Amino acid sequence: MAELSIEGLTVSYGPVNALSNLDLEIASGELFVLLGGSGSGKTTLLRTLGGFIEPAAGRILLGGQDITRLPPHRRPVNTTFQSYALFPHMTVADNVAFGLRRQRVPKPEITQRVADLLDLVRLRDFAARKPDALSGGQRQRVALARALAPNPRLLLLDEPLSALDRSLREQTRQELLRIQAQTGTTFIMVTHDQDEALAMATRIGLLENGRLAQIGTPADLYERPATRYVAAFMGNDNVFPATSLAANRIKIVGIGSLQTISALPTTPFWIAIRPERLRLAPDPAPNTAPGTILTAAYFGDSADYAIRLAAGATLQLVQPLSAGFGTGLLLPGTPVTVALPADALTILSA
Amino acid sequence: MNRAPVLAPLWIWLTLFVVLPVLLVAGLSLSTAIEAVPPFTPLLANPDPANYVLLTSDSYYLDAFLKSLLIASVSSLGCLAIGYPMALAIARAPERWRSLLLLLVMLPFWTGFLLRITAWIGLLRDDGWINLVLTTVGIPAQKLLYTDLAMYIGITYAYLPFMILPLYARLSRRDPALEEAAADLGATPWTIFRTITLPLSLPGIIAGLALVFIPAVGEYVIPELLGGPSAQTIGRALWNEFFANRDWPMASTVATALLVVLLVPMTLLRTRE
Repeated sequence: MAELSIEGLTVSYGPVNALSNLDLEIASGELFVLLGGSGSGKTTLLRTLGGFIEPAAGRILLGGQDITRLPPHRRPVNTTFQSYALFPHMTVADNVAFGLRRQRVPKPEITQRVADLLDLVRLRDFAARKPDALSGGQRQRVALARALAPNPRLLLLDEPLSALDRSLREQTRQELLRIQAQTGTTFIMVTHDQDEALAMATRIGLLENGRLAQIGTPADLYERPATRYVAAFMGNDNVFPATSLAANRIKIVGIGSLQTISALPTTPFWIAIRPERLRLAPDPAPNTAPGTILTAAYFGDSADYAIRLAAGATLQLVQPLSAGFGTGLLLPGTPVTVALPADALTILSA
Repeated sequence: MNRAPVLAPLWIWLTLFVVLPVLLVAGLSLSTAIEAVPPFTPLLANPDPANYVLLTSDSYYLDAFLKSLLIASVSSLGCLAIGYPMALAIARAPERWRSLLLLLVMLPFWTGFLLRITAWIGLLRDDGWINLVLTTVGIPAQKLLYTDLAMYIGITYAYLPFMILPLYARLSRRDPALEEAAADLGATPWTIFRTITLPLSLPGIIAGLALVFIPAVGEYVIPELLGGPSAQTIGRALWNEFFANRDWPMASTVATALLVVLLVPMTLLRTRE
């Protein structure tokens, strides 16, 4: 049975639905990432799970218990807030102990658990400090220890890495994964960053206008996006309308007639092609298309090209530079042939 | 940048109208009252601490000091009890309401202070509006005016804005995420208030208490107009020395002692900030 079941959840702000009839099941111990742009409803969903927003309709079951109408202080759910929301007038230890004191845990037990948690987040030496005297990364870890202290069934993380600078983000990401593995707590994390989602999630739910556009593993969303929106959100701009010509043969607008390996719908559909699955071919061959380089950018480990095809479409192509240095960058205007492997053509449902 | 020219007017002002008068009063407290114009022996011609000896030995002055400190303490706590919920309500009102509500708090300042205190006489006197209401609903008329109660009502009423404004300033800066975080960690609304809202507003409480307490200690007009004869405050003692007894040196002694007493809460306020 699912640890968390969300059934038909609808949240309205006046006449606007921030979440529309949302269904979602999350298993115990998952690190589920809610991904979406601003206004997609991801924060609304997180706040509804925390008990800060009352849904207009639907149910939330946690471990079989209906928590839909419980106020925040009676839910076995804790949150790390985007701003961390550490209590500025309390020490790190008192911040972490806050939830335990509310549960009337005996004092010696609180002391022990606070020490254990500060060890877990590697902040034992900072117990007596006030939040003001901590760096951003340390505050983030205090927020995490504080939220984990009452041993919640479910931990909600609101953009936990967004306030950190780049170098710290990578390190904190690994910390989060380590702590999640160590505690076994079910995590639901909100982010707008698809790389973060891919690197951390057991599964991702991509929200679009208050609805789940796709739920799946990182590989599902990246390799097999269900819709144009998902493909675009996962960083793929190579999306084109297409029609089927015959079995395993399609015509893509602006590219041409190509071989595929997928079963084809009869009505017109959309095709997505990951930029890194495209290749620059030496010669014309099946499933290739001629074109010219439009723009070129050098990234050290790869070269990114925009290629204008003779048939009219513009393709994004990423060429790995792992074969060796010195290959150089093709200049704009260079005529090229692009290979579109049959198994790289993903058919979208909408 | 040299800031002296900018600050010069301030220093001149403070010297002329604060430092010099205080020194004058302190000097005057060491002279002796005589029947002359001006009614005291020349300043510092023959410094005599006799007034201070009288101040500390005559229980009239000590009682007046204690009474004033008591009145100021009760009034500032009264202002806190009434002002805190008001400040909290304004701080949590919808944004567009807040400035209007603050304006209403300050509205009484647009009318003269004496006029407002006199209005309380009309409300509190034996045949005043409050007794009119009481007798109409069948409760016998009460003696209200010229009692301690009337004085406390007057002082609390007059100084309430000085409590509300610093409290509001503090409470309006609160981060709603902190209260959400506390609720998230299992705190009931009352616990949130006790462990988060109240401690974080402590600087506002201290500022408000000091802003009410300090002027209330020396308050003369309200005890005189609303209070009974037993409310012999230090402000009234000072007035009597100066105008009734024409003992300027003794009045200065009382004033100097009052200043010294008030340095305690003022220092407390400064160090807290």
